[in-house]
Amino acid sequence: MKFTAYLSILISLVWVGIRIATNLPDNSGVLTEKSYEVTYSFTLEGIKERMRINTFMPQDSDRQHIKRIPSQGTLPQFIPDQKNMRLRWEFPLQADTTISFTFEAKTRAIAYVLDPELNNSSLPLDPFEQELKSTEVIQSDADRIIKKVKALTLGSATLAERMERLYQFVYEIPSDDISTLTSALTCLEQMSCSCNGKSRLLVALLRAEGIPARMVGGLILNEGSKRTSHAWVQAYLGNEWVPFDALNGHYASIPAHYLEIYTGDEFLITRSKGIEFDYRYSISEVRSNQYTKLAILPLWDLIDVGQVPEKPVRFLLLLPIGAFLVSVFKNVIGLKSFGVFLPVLIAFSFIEIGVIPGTLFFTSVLFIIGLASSALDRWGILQTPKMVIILSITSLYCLVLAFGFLQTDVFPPSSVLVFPIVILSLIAERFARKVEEESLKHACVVYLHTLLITLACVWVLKSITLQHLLVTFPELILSVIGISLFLGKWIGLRVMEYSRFSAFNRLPEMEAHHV
Amino acid sequence: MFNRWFRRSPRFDNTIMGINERNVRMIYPNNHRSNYKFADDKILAKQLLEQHGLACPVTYATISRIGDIETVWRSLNHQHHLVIKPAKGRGGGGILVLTKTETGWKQGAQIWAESQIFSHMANIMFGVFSFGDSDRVIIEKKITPHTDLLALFDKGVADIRIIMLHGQPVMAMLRLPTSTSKGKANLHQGGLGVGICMHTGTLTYAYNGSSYTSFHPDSKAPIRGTQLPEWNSILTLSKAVSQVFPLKYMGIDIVIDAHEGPMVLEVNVRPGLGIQMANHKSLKEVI
Repeated sequence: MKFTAYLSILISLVWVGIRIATNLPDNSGVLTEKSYEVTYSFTLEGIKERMRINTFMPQDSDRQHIKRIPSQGTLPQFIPDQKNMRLRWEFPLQADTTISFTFEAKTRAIAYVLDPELNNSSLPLDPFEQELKSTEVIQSDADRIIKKVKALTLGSATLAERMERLYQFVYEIPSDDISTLTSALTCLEQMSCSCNGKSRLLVALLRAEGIPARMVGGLILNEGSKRTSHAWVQAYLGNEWVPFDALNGHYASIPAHYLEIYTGDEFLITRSKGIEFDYRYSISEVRSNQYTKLAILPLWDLIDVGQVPEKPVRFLLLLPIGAFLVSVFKNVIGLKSFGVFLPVLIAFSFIEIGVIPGTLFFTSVLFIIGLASSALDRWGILQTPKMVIILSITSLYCLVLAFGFLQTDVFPPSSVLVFPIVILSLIAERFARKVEEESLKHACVVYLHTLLITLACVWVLKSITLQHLLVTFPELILSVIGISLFLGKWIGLRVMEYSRFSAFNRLPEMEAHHV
Repeated sequence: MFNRWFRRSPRFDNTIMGINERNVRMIYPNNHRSNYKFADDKILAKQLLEQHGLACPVTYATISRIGDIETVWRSLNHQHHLVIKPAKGRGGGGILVLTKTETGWKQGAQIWAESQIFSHMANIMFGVFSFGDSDRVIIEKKITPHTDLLALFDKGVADIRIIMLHGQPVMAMLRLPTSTSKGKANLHQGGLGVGICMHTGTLTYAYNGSSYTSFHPDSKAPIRGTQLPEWNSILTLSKAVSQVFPLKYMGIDIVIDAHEGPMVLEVNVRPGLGIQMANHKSLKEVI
């Protein structure tokens, strides 16, 4: 037994080790960086003699590295200016057209610590004329802005302190989703604005204080496709442009998934009017290291060529990990659960629909089925027809909820439909039976234990890092087998048994003497 | 290197045996899974006992088809006391103890109409008390508790759980029903577990599931030092039973009938661990 256990752990770890070692030279520095593939795509419908689209291509910097990926179709003109790389497509539009532009971006997070001694007094104003002047929408010379800056910086001794106060003021302004252009003054007057309004206000406040500041436009790189871009601010402090995002709360830092595309108060896309125009930014994370050499099960390859759907593969690999977690909770902690591995399956659906709606839904189904089941038991309904009725009630409840969500807009209606209804019914029926056989209290305890195990599974299994690790190294599942063999022979007391047997050490003195 | 970690748990080191250890060291190596049925199914257990002439409550009838309920019931018309129970029930669920009176069949003060009794038996067969498996009904003779024990408790039946390992009785516990356990004697249902000295058959500690007491909570009768009747024949019976069953580790539940002496009520492959509390002794010490 022990031999098998050690062997399976050893084989999988050695195998992973060999694969890492043999694949290493191609992949230096992958751990700190994130790599994404970003595609702009534009669809145009209509006829226009001179169609023009302008946008930007991000450029290399300390924290990002950009590589264009050649694609078919019309190439833009690359027009560099002082700060940005502009892209321009110009052509006669005669039929419906799709244009796309793809590049790979390697990015990393960056954070600055502002020196309390920092000062801009020796700053030559000349090169920063652009970054200090007031504009139509960044009204840094407006009275209200200047007064605000004075009020906010009153009594502050250092530049770093003033910086922090101005930032904090803008950060605390409630945000809204208005995507139209909001000027600095409008934002200050309304005390509610989106990322572009907040950024303009922060820039205006900084400029009014004499700190060179500028807008930065870019994308927040989350896997998927979207239409929203993001804007934040850079301030020139201590000979460097330091980033500030007063919407998402990044002070002198930005996370790895922020892609800087241009600086200045610009629009990411401008184009000729008079046609149907739509655009998308598609973002996919590039797995920079797939350790393909010596991979017996090259799952990424299979997924990438579309032969294997990704999601089921992930679930398949997570299943043993989840099951192992459940067994730790049962055999080491001593929690009880409805069904041995049902919590894993429930956890998968929680990951799909979110923990809070999932928990609410799970609990309400348990409650409804609990009621129905006790009625059915009172009427003496046979087991199998009873399960049919319980399943039917669960299905109906899901449909009603989906319809209800459609009206209220709180949760997506599809969320309840992806729940594994059969599993849910099974758990609900076991809950009801526990109520009958033991007591409501006991059933609720087991319910809470089940929920606890489920949430722990969600917490571990939703980790993208873990999922990628398993898809890259599926042989790690062998280790799960090995460790479980050991767990299966572990004879220590379960944590819960300590309290169960705690009275053992509290035998009254006199009794002990008597026998 | 790992061995130490695997065998030990710091605070109760060498004191109490937990579920993991019971399963790994007692049940799995000693009992073959295919033999669990002799303990889980009371009809099979009784057949085995009866074949070897070992004392158990007389079986009046077993019913395995709904259609037979009425015929069998009519044939038992002359009985005045009987017990109806599911063959694969657990934790004492579904047991009906009936007495015939002038106003009809009664359990305690509650009247049971014939139609109710029939539907109870049908429920047993539908698996209501046996985790959804279809089941059979046992109808057997009611036990009259031994008078020596009656002083200790009010209602219900007290039984004695003997843990057998390789044919030897290693630990024993008297289980007394209390008012909170509703006549049942299981520890987790509120019954009182009382340790028994294996040599003398006298009662030692009483454990109510959370602490030790010296009196029965209802009758206030002192427990410690009470001598169990017929202790030697209980031990002899237990040894004989473990010769017959293909289970090297098991719990035998024995009741002492006032007229017929000790008899086997049922046999258990997964006897609970609370018995260690009642005896203030670890199962590790006896293996």
